[in-house]
Amino acid sequence: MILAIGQENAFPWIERDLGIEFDKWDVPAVDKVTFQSTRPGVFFGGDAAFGPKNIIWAVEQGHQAAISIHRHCQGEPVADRLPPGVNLQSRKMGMHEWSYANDYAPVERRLMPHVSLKERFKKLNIEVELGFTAEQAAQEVQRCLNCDVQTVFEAKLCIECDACIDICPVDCLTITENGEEADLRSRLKAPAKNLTQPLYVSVRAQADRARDGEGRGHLRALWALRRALPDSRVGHAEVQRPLASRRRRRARHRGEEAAHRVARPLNNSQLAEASHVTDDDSKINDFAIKIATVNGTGSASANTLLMKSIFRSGIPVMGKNYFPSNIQGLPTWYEIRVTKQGYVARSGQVDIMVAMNAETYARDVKEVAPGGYPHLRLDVAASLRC
Amino acid sequence: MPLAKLCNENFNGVRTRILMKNICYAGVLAALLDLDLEQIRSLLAETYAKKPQLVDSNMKAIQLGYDYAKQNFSSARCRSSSRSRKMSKTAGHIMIDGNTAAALGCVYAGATVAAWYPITPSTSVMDAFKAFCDRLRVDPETGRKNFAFIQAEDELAAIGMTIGAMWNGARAFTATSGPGISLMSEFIGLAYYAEVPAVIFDIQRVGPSTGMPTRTQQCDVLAAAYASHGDTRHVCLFPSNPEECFYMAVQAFDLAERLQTPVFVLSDLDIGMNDWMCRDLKWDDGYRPDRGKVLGKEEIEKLEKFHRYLDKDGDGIPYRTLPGVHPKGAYFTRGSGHSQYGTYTEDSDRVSDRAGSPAAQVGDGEEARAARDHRCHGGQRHRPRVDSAAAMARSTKPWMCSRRRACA
Repeated sequence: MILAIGQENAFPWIERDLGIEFDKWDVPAVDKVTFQSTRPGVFFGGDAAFGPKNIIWAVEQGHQAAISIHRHCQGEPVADRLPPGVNLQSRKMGMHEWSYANDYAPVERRLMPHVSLKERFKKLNIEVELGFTAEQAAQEVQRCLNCDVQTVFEAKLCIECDACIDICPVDCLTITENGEEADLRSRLKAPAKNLTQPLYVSVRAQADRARDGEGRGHLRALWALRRALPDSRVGHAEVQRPLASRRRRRARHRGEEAAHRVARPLNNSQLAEASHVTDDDSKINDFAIKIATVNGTGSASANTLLMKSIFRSGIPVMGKNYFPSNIQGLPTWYEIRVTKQGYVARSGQVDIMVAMNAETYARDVKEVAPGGYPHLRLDVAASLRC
Repeated sequence: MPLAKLCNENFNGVRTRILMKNICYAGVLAALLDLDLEQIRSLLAETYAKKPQLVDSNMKAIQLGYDYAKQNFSSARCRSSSRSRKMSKTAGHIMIDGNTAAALGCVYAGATVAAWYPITPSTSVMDAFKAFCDRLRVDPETGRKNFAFIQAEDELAAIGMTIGAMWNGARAFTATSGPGISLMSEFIGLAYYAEVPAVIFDIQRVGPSTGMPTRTQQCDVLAAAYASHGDTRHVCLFPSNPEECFYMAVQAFDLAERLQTPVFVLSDLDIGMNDWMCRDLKWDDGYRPDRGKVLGKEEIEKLEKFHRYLDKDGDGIPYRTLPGVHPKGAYFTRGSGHSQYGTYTEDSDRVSDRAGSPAAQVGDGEEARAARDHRCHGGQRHRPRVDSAAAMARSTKPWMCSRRRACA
């Protein structure tokens, strides 16, 4: 595998009699689906394949090429691809969570270092861009380009505000009257070329019934979601990113803030290493739990439930809530301290951390008491995608 | 621990999933700490008594977390050494936060008027008071509410209403925090000088100005003690836990009406908003509110003329009347410098002319010396506050000795 990070395509090092065909611009002919060249076993992706586009395309092409390579190695037909599938995961961001993540980051942009003009005049064909320094590269790779947004549509919550229609970059959503498939297809904003591919249709009955005064029979199709296939992306070469995701991209540029630099949760073997559990009785009814969550997610109920069930088991307990201020979406912490003696002050040490907030995860995990008493450092971390 | 995955598989709807994810970790902790699931179940049933369908979904989430944790984290290497074991140390105790306890105290003290402006962390005092009143102060037959509960347009209006209500003979209070005390200052001075009782709860937070609304501090002590401008000093009560919030709330009303002056209860965010384990609150049903020196209709009738600021008993506390009781009881409530007879004066002699008051005289006479060497009933020596002529009018106020009783 050759990673060629260059400025323009040039393949002087490929002999022209290998069976790799080149087109009129002297770039290899590459299959659009498999990314294989005319010589089996040789694949191209990124700038080298179809000319410069953006990184997301390069990543996707690399992905597709990897699938092809795998199939090639397995001796299977390279052009065979799995049928497209949709696996929707809910991601709800509260208003404040979203707006914080989308804040414009006024950090210094990392400029590509260039060779000085003096040098450039001396040697006209010198490679001008020097590449990022190690430090810059480390910051650059932390940028998330956020090509993963997966919205969830719930029929009963829809108010037909058209926001999804406005923001969709590929026009795959349509709000229209219901009808039979053929009829419906004629009214899609961007009709599908592949008719064997199903339309996702969601129907909203309630409000319409109220409006039209008709019985159950009259339903309106709400969304006809046409899944974007590779062939339909032709013509969208420079996809206009929706404003929201551009802002999110910029937000990720923040260098120092740990908000998006997230530690990975420990897996079971790491946990096993970390813990030295004995049957030491010293921590029976003598420990502190700290729960880090996001305000407005129902954590207060859960915390109170926990604390009261400890209290009703006859064990002295106290709970203290810490929150920056009572605005939804911001982090909040709840500390439950259990002691035989009924102390009400903070213990200054956290034995169990329930880390539910991705934003504060890195800092929360550090708070757990190291060594000292044998204890279990358990990261009860939620999946970061939800 | 794949909480999100567990919840996404078992619940629908974005909001439900988020809520259940949090309840789920409660189940996980229950498993790790050996908590009793039955306790949790009965707690849920109580909490959602009005919405039983929530009990099921919450219990399901708890069970999911519990089962997963038991299956995956119960090996010897993963077991937590932090564990719980049933005890019986909570018998005779309750879990309560200070603001709820204070509100309960107000109810037991017989408060009927509550005026306030919302501010963290004191709003929950009022919310709790309203909840208690809705339960306890509504006539079961007529549905008539026996309380007045007013959210004012700002703190100034809130304290104004409180003072007005107390002046009128009701037991009234307001709850606020540091910034509110600042805003209420002038009114507090008026209540002090015109000798009108008031009860103010200051649930302190980090100041100054907006400060940190959700962090605790005890920074208003001086501000409350000297609230308002000029020569003021107030009675302050300092609860150190929710239990004391309850008892001191009741005491505050008694003191305010006995001394005819504003009384501050200085709690804080940590006491007020967090649940503490406290002993069961005790109440003596024989309690009778101390309304202080208030003249009834017959007593006013016997008077030739009523003077609101006349220190008859020489204890520094005049008698007051309530409006509407008797026409002869009417008086001018004065915030400006006044004599015992309620007339405006800047004349120090007239101001100091309070019959029988040991602390009133200036000069070298025997009485003056007696005033300076005044000893209270506890035998403790203390100086009356006689700094200036203007202060004379107020110098008949009893000095608060350690027993918090008016000194004769």
